[in-house]
Amino acid sequence: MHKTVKIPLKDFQQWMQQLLLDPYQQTGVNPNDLLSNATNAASIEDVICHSEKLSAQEHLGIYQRSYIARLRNCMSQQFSALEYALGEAIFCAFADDYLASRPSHHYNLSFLGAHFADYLENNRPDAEETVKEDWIDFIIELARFEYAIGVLFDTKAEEDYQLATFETPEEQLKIVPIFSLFTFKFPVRKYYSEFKNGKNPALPLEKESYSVVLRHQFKLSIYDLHKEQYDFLSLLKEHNDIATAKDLFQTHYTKNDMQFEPIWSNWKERWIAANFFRV
Amino acid sequence: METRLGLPNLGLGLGLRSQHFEHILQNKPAVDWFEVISENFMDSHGRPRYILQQIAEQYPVVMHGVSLSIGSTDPLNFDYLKSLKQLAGEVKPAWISDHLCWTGVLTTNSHDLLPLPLNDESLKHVCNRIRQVQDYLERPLIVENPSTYAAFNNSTLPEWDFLRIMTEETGCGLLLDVNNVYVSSFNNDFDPVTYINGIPHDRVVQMHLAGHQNCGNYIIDTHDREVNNQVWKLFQMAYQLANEASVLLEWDGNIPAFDVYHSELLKSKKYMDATFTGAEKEVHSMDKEQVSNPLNLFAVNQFL
Repeated sequence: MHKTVKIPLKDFQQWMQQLLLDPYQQTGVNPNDLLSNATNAASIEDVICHSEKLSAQEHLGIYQRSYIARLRNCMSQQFSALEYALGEAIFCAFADDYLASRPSHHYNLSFLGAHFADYLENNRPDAEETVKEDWIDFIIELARFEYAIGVLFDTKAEEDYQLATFETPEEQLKIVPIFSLFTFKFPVRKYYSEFKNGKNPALPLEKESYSVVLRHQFKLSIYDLHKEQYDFLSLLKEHNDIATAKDLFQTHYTKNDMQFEPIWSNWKERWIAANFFRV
Repeated sequence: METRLGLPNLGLGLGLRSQHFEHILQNKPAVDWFEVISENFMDSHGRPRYILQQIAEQYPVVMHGVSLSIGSTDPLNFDYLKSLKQLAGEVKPAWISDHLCWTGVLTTNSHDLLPLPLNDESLKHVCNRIRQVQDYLERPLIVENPSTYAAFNNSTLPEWDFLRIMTEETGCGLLLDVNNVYVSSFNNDFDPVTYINGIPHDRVVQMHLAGHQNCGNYIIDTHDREVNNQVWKLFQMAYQLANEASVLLEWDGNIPAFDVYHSELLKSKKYMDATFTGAEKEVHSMDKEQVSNPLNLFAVNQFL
Protein backbone atom coordinates (compact mmCIF):
# COMPACT_ATOMS: atom_id res chain seq x y z
CA MET A 1 0.00 0.00 0.00
CA HIS A 2 1.22 3.48 -0.91
CA LYS A 3 2.33 5.40 2.15
CA THR A 4 1.37 9.07 2.52
CA VAL A 5 4.53 11.13 2.90
CA LYS A 6 4.36 14.41 4.78
CA ILE A 7 7.30 16.71 5.40
CA PRO A 8 7.02 20.28 6.69
CA LEU A 9 8.23 22.54 3.87
CA LYS A 10 10.85 24.14 6.09
CA ASP A 11 12.31 20.77 7.04
CA PHE A 12 12.24 19.58 3.44
CA GLN A 13 14.20 22.62 2.28
CA GLN A 14 16.82 22.33 5.01
CA TRP A 15 17.18 18.64 4.21
CA MET A 16 17.62 19.18 0.50
CA GLN A 17 20.00 22.11 0.96
CA GLN A 18 22.12 20.05 3.33
CA LEU A 19 22.39 17.34 0.67
CA LEU A 20 23.44 19.89 -1.94
CA LEU A 21 25.99 21.75 0.15
CA ASP A 22 27.46 18.75 1.89
CA PRO A 23 26.92 15.71 -0.36
CA TYR A 24 29.63 13.66 1.38
CA GLN A 25 28.51 14.62 4.90
CA GLN A 26 31.86 16.20 5.71
CA THR A 27 30.22 18.55 8.21
CA GLY A 28 29.06 15.60 10.29
CA VAL A 29 25.40 16.51 9.82
CA ASN A 30 23.24 13.59 8.82
CA PRO A 31 20.62 15.11 6.51
CA ASN A 32 18.11 12.44 7.42
CA ASP A 33 18.13 13.78 10.97
CA LEU A 34 16.44 16.84 9.50
CA LEU A 35 13.44 14.69 8.61
CA SER A 36 12.52 13.97 12.23
CA ASN A 37 9.19 15.81 11.87
CA ALA A 38 8.29 13.99 8.68
CA THR A 39 5.74 11.24 8.28
CA ASN A 40 6.92 8.18 6.36
CA ALA A 41 10.10 9.89 5.18
CA ALA A 42 13.51 9.02 6.56
CA SER A 43 15.71 8.68 3.49
CA ILE A 44 16.33 10.07 0.01
CA GLU A 45 14.20 7.35 -1.52
CA ASP A 46 11.31 8.26 0.79
CA VAL A 47 11.39 11.90 -0.27
CA ILE A 48 12.43 11.90 -3.92
CA CYS A 49 10.54 9.91 -6.53
CA HIS A 50 12.44 7.55 -8.75
CA SER A 51 11.53 7.76 -12.42
CA GLU A 52 11.51 5.26 -15.26
CA LYS A 53 15.14 6.10 -16.02
CA LEU A 54 16.70 7.29 -12.78
CA SER A 55 16.76 6.35 -9.11
CA ALA A 56 15.92 8.90 -6.44
CA GLN A 57 19.63 9.28 -5.68
CA GLU A 58 20.38 9.87 -9.35
CA HIS A 59 17.74 12.59 -9.52
CA LEU A 60 19.27 14.26 -6.49
CA GLY A 61 22.72 13.80 -7.99
CA ILE A 62 21.83 16.12 -10.87
CA TYR A 63 21.23 18.94 -8.38
CA GLN A 64 24.31 18.03 -6.35
CA ARG A 65 26.61 18.13 -9.37
CA SER A 66 24.96 21.23 -10.72
CA TYR A 67 25.35 23.13 -7.44
CA ILE A 68 29.11 22.82 -7.24
CA ALA A 69 29.68 23.00 -11.00
CA ARG A 70 27.72 26.25 -11.27
CA LEU A 71 29.58 27.96 -8.45
CA ARG A 72 32.95 26.62 -9.61
CA ASN A 73 32.16 28.04 -13.00
CA CYS A 74 31.44 31.43 -11.46
CA MET A 75 34.64 31.34 -9.43
CA SER A 76 36.49 30.43 -12.58
CA GLN A 77 35.05 33.46 -14.36
CA GLN A 78 35.82 35.78 -11.45
CA PHE A 79 39.35 34.46 -11.07
CA SER A 80 40.33 33.40 -14.57
CA ALA A 81 43.97 34.50 -14.28
CA LEU A 82 44.23 32.80 -10.91
CA GLU A 83 42.81 29.60 -12.35
CA TYR A 84 45.41 29.73 -15.10
CA ALA A 85 48.17 30.34 -12.54
CA LEU A 86 47.11 27.45 -10.32
CA GLY A 87 45.97 25.08 -13.03
CA GLU A 88 42.37 23.89 -13.22
CA ALA A 89 42.67 20.98 -10.78
CA ILE A 90 44.30 22.94 -7.94
CA PHE A 91 42.05 25.94 -8.54
CA CYS A 92 38.96 23.71 -8.31
CA ALA A 93 40.24 22.09 -5.14
CA PHE A 94 40.70 25.52 -3.53
CA ALA A 95 37.39 26.79 -4.91
CA ASP A 96 35.47 23.74 -3.71
CA ASP A 97 36.94 24.00 -0.23
CA TYR A 98 36.27 27.74 -0.14
CA LEU A 99 32.66 27.25 -1.24
CA ALA A 100 32.20 24.51 1.35
CA SER A 101 33.57 26.72 4.11
CA ARG A 102 31.80 29.88 2.94
CA PRO A 103 28.56 29.09 1.08
CA SER A 104 27.02 32.03 -0.74
CA HIS A 105 24.69 34.22 1.29
CA HIS A 106 24.01 36.85 -1.34
CA TYR A 107 21.72 36.75 -4.32
CA ASN A 108 24.35 38.46 -6.45
CA LEU A 109 27.02 36.07 -7.71
CA SER A 110 29.44 38.97 -8.10
CA PHE A 111 30.09 38.65 -4.37
CA LEU A 112 30.85 34.94 -4.52
CA GLY A 113 34.61 35.41 -4.44
CA ALA A 114 34.66 38.27 -1.94
CA HIS A 115 36.55 36.29 0.68
CA PHE A 116 38.58 34.03 -1.57
CA ALA A 117 41.86 35.88 -1.13
CA ASP A 118 41.40 35.78 2.66
CA TYR A 119 40.60 32.09 2.42
CA LEU A 120 43.82 31.48 0.48
CA GLU A 121 45.75 33.52 3.03
CA ASN A 122 44.28 31.51 5.91
CA ASN A 123 44.68 28.16 4.21
CA ARG A 124 48.07 28.49 2.57
CA PRO A 125 49.72 25.12 2.07
CA ASP A 126 52.88 26.33 3.85
CA ALA A 127 51.02 27.55 6.94
CA GLU A 128 52.99 25.21 9.20
CA GLU A 129 56.35 25.96 7.58
CA THR A 130 58.82 28.47 8.95
CA VAL A 131 60.03 29.45 5.51
CA LYS A 132 57.14 30.56 3.31
CA GLU A 133 56.88 29.78 -0.37
CA ASP A 134 56.90 32.78 -2.72
CA TRP A 135 54.36 31.52 -5.21
CA ILE A 136 51.64 31.42 -2.60
CA ASP A 137 52.12 35.12 -1.89
CA PHE A 138 51.76 35.77 -5.60
CA ILE A 139 48.57 33.71 -5.79
CA ILE A 140 47.02 35.66 -2.93
CA GLU A 141 47.98 39.00 -4.51
CA LEU A 142 46.54 37.92 -7.83
CA ALA A 143 43.28 36.81 -6.20
CA ARG A 144 42.91 40.17 -4.45
CA PHE A 145 43.61 42.04 -7.67
CA GLU A 146 41.19 40.04 -9.80
CA TYR A 147 38.38 40.51 -7.32
CA ALA A 148 39.16 44.22 -6.99
CA ILE A 149 38.85 44.65 -10.75
CA GLY A 150 35.30 43.29 -10.60
CA VAL A 151 34.38 45.60 -7.73
CA LEU A 152 35.76 48.67 -9.51
CA PHE A 153 33.83 47.71 -12.63
CA ASP A 154 30.52 47.78 -10.77
CA THR A 155 31.10 50.53 -8.19
CA LYS A 156 28.66 53.41 -8.11
CA ALA A 157 30.44 56.66 -8.94
CA GLU A 158 29.90 60.00 -10.59
CA GLU A 159 30.40 59.59 -14.33
CA ASP A 160 29.20 62.91 -15.66
CA TYR A 161 32.39 64.87 -15.06
CA GLN A 162 34.73 66.86 -17.27
CA LEU A 163 38.17 65.46 -17.90
CA ALA A 164 41.16 67.74 -17.41
CA THR A 165 43.02 68.89 -20.50
CA PHE A 166 46.58 70.08 -20.97
CA GLU A 167 45.24 73.62 -20.52
CA THR A 168 43.56 72.90 -17.17
CA PRO A 169 45.24 74.95 -14.42
CA GLU A 170 47.22 72.63 -12.19
CA GLU A 171 45.39 73.60 -9.01
CA GLN A 172 42.14 72.38 -10.57
CA LEU A 173 43.34 68.84 -11.25
CA LYS A 174 41.44 66.17 -9.33
CA ILE A 175 41.79 62.46 -9.74
CA VAL A 176 38.80 60.72 -11.39
CA PRO A 177 36.24 59.11 -9.05
CA ILE A 178 37.20 55.48 -9.69
CA PHE A 179 40.94 55.44 -9.12
CA SER A 180 42.49 52.62 -7.12
CA LEU A 181 46.17 52.23 -6.37
CA PHE A 182 47.82 48.86 -5.89
CA THR A 183 51.19 47.81 -4.54
CA PHE A 184 52.38 44.25 -5.00
CA LYS A 185 55.34 42.09 -4.03
CA PHE A 186 55.09 40.52 -7.49
CA PRO A 187 54.46 41.88 -11.01
CA VAL A 188 50.77 41.07 -10.72
CA ARG A 189 49.52 43.59 -13.29
CA LYS A 190 51.94 42.33 -15.91
CA TYR A 191 50.96 38.73 -15.31
CA TYR A 192 47.26 39.57 -15.33
CA SER A 193 47.44 41.60 -18.53
CA GLU A 194 49.51 38.99 -20.34
CA PHE A 195 46.99 36.33 -19.43
CA LYS A 196 44.06 38.50 -20.52
CA ASN A 197 45.82 39.17 -23.80
CA GLY A 198 46.00 35.48 -24.58
CA LYS A 199 49.61 34.91 -23.61
CA ASN A 200 50.81 32.15 -21.31
CA PRO A 201 52.79 33.91 -18.60
CA ALA A 202 55.00 31.87 -16.27
CA LEU A 203 54.75 32.32 -12.51
CA PRO A 204 56.78 35.47 -11.88
CA LEU A 205 59.69 35.99 -9.53
CA GLU A 206 59.30 38.37 -6.64
CA LYS A 207 59.63 41.98 -7.77
CA GLU A 208 57.81 44.95 -6.26
CA SER A 209 55.29 46.52 -8.60
CA TYR A 210 52.80 49.37 -8.51
CA SER A 211 49.66 49.93 -10.53
CA VAL A 212 46.59 52.09 -10.80
CA VAL A 213 43.17 51.01 -12.03
CA LEU A 214 40.86 53.81 -13.11
CA ARG A 215 37.47 53.99 -14.75
CA HIS A 216 36.31 56.52 -17.29
CA GLN A 217 33.01 56.30 -19.13
CA PHE A 218 32.53 52.90 -17.51
CA LYS A 219 35.69 51.42 -19.01
CA LEU A 220 38.55 50.29 -16.78
CA SER A 221 42.17 51.07 -17.58
CA ILE A 222 45.21 49.71 -15.80
CA TYR A 223 48.60 51.45 -15.73
CA ASP A 224 51.93 50.51 -14.25
CA LEU A 225 53.55 53.03 -11.94
CA HIS A 226 57.02 53.57 -10.47
CA LYS A 227 57.24 53.61 -6.72
CA GLU A 228 57.64 57.39 -6.74
CA GLN A 229 54.57 57.80 -8.90
CA TYR A 230 52.63 55.49 -6.62
CA ASP A 231 53.71 57.50 -3.58
CA PHE A 232 52.80 60.79 -5.23
CA LEU A 233 49.38 59.56 -6.36
CA SER A 234 48.74 58.09 -2.92
CA LEU A 235 49.38 61.51 -1.42
CA LEU A 236 47.18 63.13 -4.02
CA LYS A 237 44.38 60.65 -3.40
CA GLU A 238 44.64 61.20 0.35
CA HIS A 239 44.74 65.00 0.24
CA ASN A 240 42.94 65.63 -3.04
CA ASP A 241 45.07 68.70 -3.67
CA ILE A 242 47.99 68.93 -6.09
CA ALA A 243 49.95 71.55 -4.16
CA THR A 244 49.72 69.59 -0.91
CA ALA A 245 50.70 66.37 -2.61
CA LYS A 246 53.69 68.04 -4.26
CA ASP A 247 54.84 69.59 -0.98
CA LEU A 248 54.58 66.35 0.94
CA PHE A 249 56.18 64.37 -1.84
CA GLN A 250 59.15 66.74 -2.13
CA THR A 251 59.60 66.68 1.63
CA HIS A 252 59.74 62.92 1.54
CA TYR A 253 62.15 62.74 -1.38
CA THR A 254 64.51 65.64 -0.54
CA LYS A 255 67.27 63.22 0.29
CA ASN A 256 67.35 62.18 -3.33
CA ASP A 257 68.20 65.73 -4.37
CA MET A 258 65.89 65.38 -7.29
CA GLN A 259 64.48 68.20 -9.35
CA PHE A 260 60.80 67.45 -9.03
CA GLU A 261 59.19 70.06 -11.30
CA PRO A 262 60.46 68.64 -14.60
CA ILE A 263 59.50 65.15 -13.45
CA TRP A 264 56.06 66.30 -12.36
CA SER A 265 55.57 68.12 -15.63
CA ASN A 266 56.29 64.91 -17.48
CA TRP A 267 54.02 62.84 -15.24
CA LYS A 268 51.23 65.40 -15.48
CA GLU A 269 51.26 65.37 -19.26
CA ARG A 270 51.13 61.58 -19.46
CA TRP A 271 48.49 61.26 -16.77
CA ILE A 272 46.20 63.89 -18.28
CA ALA A 273 46.43 62.03 -21.58
CA ALA A 274 45.55 58.80 -19.74
CA ASN A 275 42.43 60.32 -18.09
CA PHE A 276 43.82 60.31 -14.55
CA PHE A 277 42.44 63.79 -13.88
CA ARG A 278 39.13 65.54 -13.93
CA VAL A 279 38.38 69.21 -13.37
CA MET B 1 -11.17 37.37 -17.40
CA GLU B 2 -8.72 39.75 -19.00
CA THR B 3 -6.26 37.98 -21.29
CA ARG B 4 -2.59 38.26 -20.24
CA LEU B 5 -3.65 40.46 -17.29
CA GLY B 6 -4.09 43.26 -19.81
CA LEU B 7 -0.37 43.19 -20.53
CA PRO B 8 0.69 43.69 -24.15
CA ASN B 9 1.98 41.16 -26.64
CA LEU B 10 5.48 42.50 -27.11
CA GLY B 11 6.22 40.18 -30.03
CA LEU B 12 9.50 38.30 -30.39
CA GLY B 13 12.23 39.10 -27.89
CA LEU B 14 15.79 38.16 -27.05
CA GLY B 15 17.70 37.96 -23.81
CA LEU B 16 20.04 40.93 -23.43
CA ARG B 17 23.54 39.49 -23.13
CA SER B 18 26.71 41.51 -22.52
CA GLN B 19 28.37 39.95 -25.57
CA HIS B 20 25.82 41.77 -27.74
CA PHE B 21 25.78 45.19 -26.08
CA GLU B 22 27.90 46.92 -28.70
CA HIS B 23 26.11 45.26 -31.60
CA ILE B 24 22.71 46.35 -30.33
CA LEU B 25 23.74 49.92 -29.63
CA GLN B 26 25.50 50.33 -32.96
CA ASN B 27 23.10 48.46 -35.25
CA LYS B 28 19.77 48.88 -33.50
CA PRO B 29 18.55 45.47 -34.72
CA ALA B 30 14.86 44.91 -35.43
CA VAL B 31 14.14 42.94 -32.28
CA ASP B 32 10.74 43.59 -30.71
CA TRP B 33 11.93 43.61 -27.12
CA PHE B 34 14.64 42.46 -24.70
CA GLU B 35 14.53 40.50 -21.48
CA VAL B 36 17.20 41.21 -18.89
CA ILE B 37 18.31 39.10 -15.96
CA SER B 38 17.41 41.48 -13.13
CA GLU B 39 20.30 40.46 -10.88
CA ASN B 40 22.86 41.33 -13.56
CA PHE B 41 21.88 44.98 -13.22
CA MET B 42 20.38 45.49 -9.76
CA ASP B 43 23.66 46.06 -7.95
CA SER B 44 25.77 47.10 -10.89
CA HIS B 45 26.51 50.76 -11.24
CA GLY B 46 28.98 50.28 -14.04
CA ARG B 47 28.73 49.82 -17.76
CA PRO B 48 25.97 47.14 -17.85
CA ARG B 49 23.46 49.40 -16.13
CA TYR B 50 24.49 52.36 -18.26
CA ILE B 51 23.93 50.29 -21.39
CA LEU B 52 20.64 48.93 -20.11
CA GLN B 53 19.41 52.49 -19.64
CA GLN B 54 20.21 53.23 -23.28
CA ILE B 55 18.57 50.05 -24.53
CA ALA B 56 15.48 50.64 -22.41
CA GLU B 57 15.07 54.00 -24.13
CA GLN B 58 14.95 52.25 -27.51
CA TYR B 59 13.23 48.89 -26.86
CA PRO B 60 10.58 47.50 -24.54
CA VAL B 61 12.30 45.64 -21.71
CA VAL B 62 11.15 42.91 -19.33
CA MET B 63 12.96 42.10 -16.08
CA HIS B 64 13.46 38.40 -15.40
CA GLY B 65 14.83 37.35 -12.03
CA VAL B 66 16.52 34.23 -10.70
CA SER B 67 16.80 35.07 -6.99
CA LEU B 68 13.39 36.06 -5.66
CA SER B 69 13.14 32.58 -4.12
CA ILE B 70 9.37 32.78 -3.90
CA GLY B 71 9.15 29.25 -2.50
CA SER B 72 11.75 29.57 0.25
CA THR B 73 10.74 29.27 3.88
CA ASP B 74 13.22 32.03 4.73
CA PRO B 75 11.62 35.47 5.10
CA LEU B 76 11.32 37.43 1.88
CA ASN B 77 14.48 39.41 1.22
CA PHE B 78 13.29 43.00 1.20
CA ASP B 79 16.77 44.30 0.42
CA TYR B 80 16.52 42.30 -2.77
CA LEU B 81 13.02 43.56 -3.47
CA LYS B 82 14.06 47.15 -2.83
CA SER B 83 16.89 46.87 -5.30
CA LEU B 84 14.58 45.15 -7.80
CA LYS B 85 12.00 47.90 -7.46
CA GLN B 86 14.64 50.61 -7.86
CA LEU B 87 15.83 49.04 -11.09
CA ALA B 88 12.24 48.72 -12.30
CA GLY B 89 11.77 52.41 -11.57
CA GLU B 90 14.66 53.18 -13.92
CA VAL B 91 14.03 50.63 -16.64
CA LYS B 92 10.24 50.72 -16.59
CA PRO B 93 9.85 47.07 -17.63
CA ALA B 94 6.64 45.83 -19.22
CA TRP B 95 6.58 43.27 -16.39
CA ILE B 96 8.76 41.52 -13.82
CA SER B 97 9.10 37.76 -13.73
CA ASP B 98 10.80 35.08 -11.65
CA HIS B 99 10.56 31.33 -11.10
CA LEU B 100 8.39 28.98 -9.09
CA CYS B 101 11.27 27.70 -7.00
CA TRP B 102 13.38 28.29 -3.95
CA THR B 103 17.09 29.15 -4.07
CA GLY B 104 18.10 28.48 -0.47
CA VAL B 105 17.24 28.61 3.21
CA LEU B 106 18.96 29.69 6.44
CA THR B 107 20.23 32.71 4.44
CA THR B 108 22.27 30.46 2.14
CA ASN B 109 21.89 30.91 -1.59
CA SER B 110 22.47 27.85 -3.78
CA HIS B 111 22.10 29.96 -6.94
CA ASP B 112 19.99 27.17 -8.34
CA LEU B 113 16.27 27.13 -9.10
CA LEU B 114 15.34 24.36 -6.69
CA PRO B 115 12.06 22.46 -7.01
CA LEU B 116 9.22 22.57 -4.53
CA PRO B 117 7.06 19.69 -3.41
CA LEU B 118 3.71 20.64 -4.91
CA ASN B 119 1.04 20.31 -2.23
CA ASP B 120 -1.40 22.38 -0.20
CA GLU B 121 1.27 23.64 2.19
CA SER B 122 3.64 24.85 -0.52
CA LEU B 123 0.75 26.30 -2.53
CA LYS B 124 -0.47 28.36 0.41
CA HIS B 125 3.08 29.42 1.22
CA VAL B 126 3.88 30.49 -2.35
CA CYS B 127 0.57 32.32 -2.75
CA ASN B 128 1.13 34.28 0.47
CA ARG B 129 4.55 35.35 -0.71
CA ILE B 130 3.40 36.24 -4.22
CA ARG B 131 0.79 38.52 -2.68
CA GLN B 132 3.44 40.21 -0.53
CA VAL B 133 5.76 40.67 -3.50
CA GLN B 134 2.98 42.04 -5.68
CA ASP B 135 1.94 44.47 -2.95
CA TYR B 136 5.53 45.65 -2.59
CA LEU B 137 6.26 45.92 -6.30
CA GLU B 138 2.80 47.36 -7.00
CA ARG B 139 2.39 45.17 -10.05
CA PRO B 140 1.52 41.57 -10.84
CA LEU B 141 4.34 39.09 -10.65
CA ILE B 142 4.82 36.84 -13.65
CA VAL B 143 5.87 33.37 -12.48
CA GLU B 144 7.78 30.90 -14.64
CA ASN B 145 7.58 27.13 -14.48
CA PRO B 146 11.15 25.93 -13.76
CA SER B 147 13.02 23.01 -15.25
CA THR B 148 13.00 20.27 -12.65
CA TYR B 149 15.23 17.26 -12.22
CA ALA B 150 13.33 15.62 -9.37
CA ALA B 151 9.79 15.14 -8.13
CA PHE B 152 8.77 14.44 -4.55
CA ASN B 153 6.70 11.82 -2.82
CA ASN B 154 4.93 14.48 -0.74
CA SER B 155 3.65 16.25 -3.85
CA THR B 156 -0.09 15.96 -4.23
CA LEU B 157 -0.73 18.34 -7.13
CA PRO B 158 0.51 18.20 -10.71
CA GLU B 159 2.44 21.32 -11.58
CA TRP B 160 -0.19 22.55 -14.04
CA ASP B 161 -2.86 22.42 -11.33
CA PHE B 162 -0.54 24.15 -8.89
CA LEU B 163 0.02 26.96 -11.41
CA ARG B 164 -3.67 27.27 -12.14
CA ILE B 165 -4.67 27.59 -8.49
CA MET B 166 -1.71 29.90 -7.83
CA THR B 167 -2.80 32.32 -10.55
CA GLU B 168 -6.42 32.20 -9.39
CA GLU B 169 -5.48 32.85 -5.77
CA THR B 170 -2.99 35.65 -6.39
CA GLY B 171 -3.80 37.25 -9.71
CA CYS B 172 -0.24 36.65 -10.87
CA GLY B 173 0.63 35.89 -14.47
CA LEU B 174 2.50 32.98 -16.01
CA LEU B 175 5.69 32.80 -17.96
CA LEU B 176 5.30 29.50 -19.75
CA ASP B 177 8.72 28.08 -20.53
CA VAL B 178 7.97 25.46 -23.12
CA ASN B 179 11.48 24.05 -23.00
CA ASN B 180 11.17 23.69 -19.23
CA VAL B 181 7.92 21.78 -19.64
CA TYR B 182 9.68 19.42 -22.03
CA VAL B 183 12.75 19.04 -19.79
CA SER B 184 10.68 18.42 -16.66
CA SER B 185 8.36 16.00 -18.42
CA PHE B 186 11.31 13.96 -19.69
CA ASN B 187 12.98 13.93 -16.27
CA ASN B 188 9.85 13.24 -14.25
CA ASP B 189 7.74 11.03 -16.50
CA PHE B 190 4.74 13.18 -17.27
CA ASP B 191 3.08 14.10 -20.52
CA PRO B 192 4.06 17.60 -21.68
CA VAL B 193 0.90 17.93 -23.76
CA THR B 194 -1.24 17.28 -20.68
CA TYR B 195 0.78 19.99 -18.92
CA ILE B 196 0.28 22.53 -21.69
CA ASN B 197 -3.42 21.75 -21.84
CA GLY B 198 -3.75 22.01 -18.08
CA ILE B 199 -2.32 25.45 -17.41
CA PRO B 200 -4.54 28.54 -17.35
CA HIS B 201 -3.96 29.85 -20.87
CA ASP B 202 -5.45 33.26 -20.26
CA ARG B 203 -2.77 33.89 -17.62
CA VAL B 204 0.18 33.27 -19.92
CA VAL B 205 1.84 36.64 -20.38
CA GLN B 206 5.07 35.38 -21.89
CA MET B 207 6.64 32.24 -23.27
CA HIS B 208 10.24 31.07 -23.16
CA LEU B 209 12.08 28.97 -25.69
CA ALA B 210 15.56 27.57 -25.21
CA GLY B 211 17.90 24.76 -26.12
CA HIS B 212 18.72 21.90 -23.80
CA GLN B 213 21.22 19.10 -23.42
CA ASN B 214 19.97 15.54 -23.62
CA CYS B 215 22.25 13.41 -21.43
CA GLY B 216 20.50 10.16 -22.28
CA ASN B 217 18.62 9.36 -19.10
CA TYR B 218 17.87 12.96 -18.29
CA ILE B 219 17.87 16.43 -19.83
CA ILE B 220 19.62 19.55 -18.56
CA ASP B 221 18.14 22.97 -19.31
CA THR B 222 21.37 24.50 -20.60
CA HIS B 223 20.22 27.39 -22.84
CA ASP B 224 23.35 26.79 -24.88
CA ARG B 225 22.11 25.64 -28.28
CA GLU B 226 19.26 25.72 -30.76
CA VAL B 227 15.73 24.78 -29.78
CA ASN B 228 15.01 21.16 -30.62
CA ASN B 229 12.11 19.84 -32.68
CA GLN B 230 10.07 18.42 -29.82
CA VAL B 231 10.16 21.80 -28.08
CA TRP B 232 9.21 23.61 -31.29
CA LYS B 233 6.22 21.30 -31.67
CA LEU B 234 5.20 21.90 -28.07
CA PHE B 235 5.58 25.62 -28.65
CA GLN B 236 3.38 25.40 -31.74
CA MET B 237 0.62 23.90 -29.64
CA ALA B 238 1.10 26.19 -26.67
CA TYR B 239 1.19 29.35 -28.75
CA GLN B 240 -2.27 28.67 -30.14
CA LEU B 241 -3.65 28.07 -26.67
CA ALA B 242 -1.91 30.99 -24.99
CA ASN B 243 -3.50 33.72 -27.02
CA GLU B 244 -0.39 35.06 -28.67
CA ALA B 245 1.73 35.73 -25.62
CA SER B 246 5.10 37.46 -26.03
CA VAL B 247 7.85 35.02 -27.01
CA LEU B 248 11.46 35.06 -25.91
CA LEU B 249 14.39 32.85 -26.82
CA GLU B 250 16.92 32.32 -24.01
CA TRP B 251 20.58 31.64 -24.81
CA ASP B 252 23.01 31.77 -21.89
CA GLY B 253 25.86 29.38 -22.68
CA ASN B 254 28.02 29.20 -25.82
CA ILE B 255 26.38 32.49 -26.76
CA PRO B 256 26.57 32.91 -30.53
CA ALA B 257 26.87 36.06 -32.62
CA PHE B 258 23.83 38.27 -32.37
CA ASP B 259 22.58 37.46 -35.87
CA VAL B 260 22.70 33.72 -35.18
CA TYR B 261 20.76 34.22 -31.95
CA HIS B 262 18.22 36.43 -33.69
CA SER B 263 17.71 34.05 -36.61
CA GLU B 264 16.97 31.21 -34.17
CA LEU B 265 14.29 33.40 -32.59
CA LEU B 266 12.76 34.16 -35.96
CA LYS B 267 12.20 30.44 -36.57
CA SER B 268 9.39 30.74 -34.04
CA LYS B 269 7.31 32.60 -36.64
CA LYS B 270 6.88 29.35 -38.57
CA TYR B 271 5.64 27.53 -35.49
CA MET B 272 3.16 30.26 -34.65
CA ASP B 273 1.23 28.92 -37.63
CA ALA B 274 -0.82 25.96 -36.41
CA THR B 275 -0.72 24.40 -39.87
CA PHE B 276 3.09 24.37 -40.22
CA THR B 277 4.30 20.76 -40.45
CA GLY B 278 8.04 21.18 -41.10
CA ALA B 279 10.91 20.40 -38.77
CA GLU B 280 14.40 21.74 -38.16
CA LYS B 281 17.51 19.83 -39.13
CA GLU B 282 19.12 18.74 -35.89
CA VAL B 283 22.65 17.75 -35.02
CA HIS B 284 22.72 15.38 -32.07
CA SER B 285 25.81 15.29 -29.91
CA MET B 286 26.78 13.89 -26.56
CA ASP B 287 29.00 16.26 -24.67
CA LYS B 288 30.10 16.88 -21.11
CA GLU B 289 27.23 17.60 -18.75
CA GLN B 290 26.63 21.33 -18.67
CA VAL B 291 25.18 23.50 -15.94
CA SER B 292 21.54 24.55 -16.06
CA ASN B 293 20.90 28.20 -16.78
CA PRO B 294 20.25 31.10 -16.44
CA LEU B 295 23.13 32.38 -14.37
CA ASN B 296 23.53 35.93 -13.22
CA LEU B 297 27.17 36.69 -13.75
CA PHE B 298 28.64 39.12 -16.20
CA ALA B 299 32.03 38.76 -17.80
CA VAL B 300 33.98 41.86 -16.87
CA ASN B 301 36.87 41.15 -19.23
CA GLN B 302 35.39 42.75 -22.28
CA PHE B 303 35.15 46.07 -20.50
CA LEU B 304 38.83 46.34 -19.69
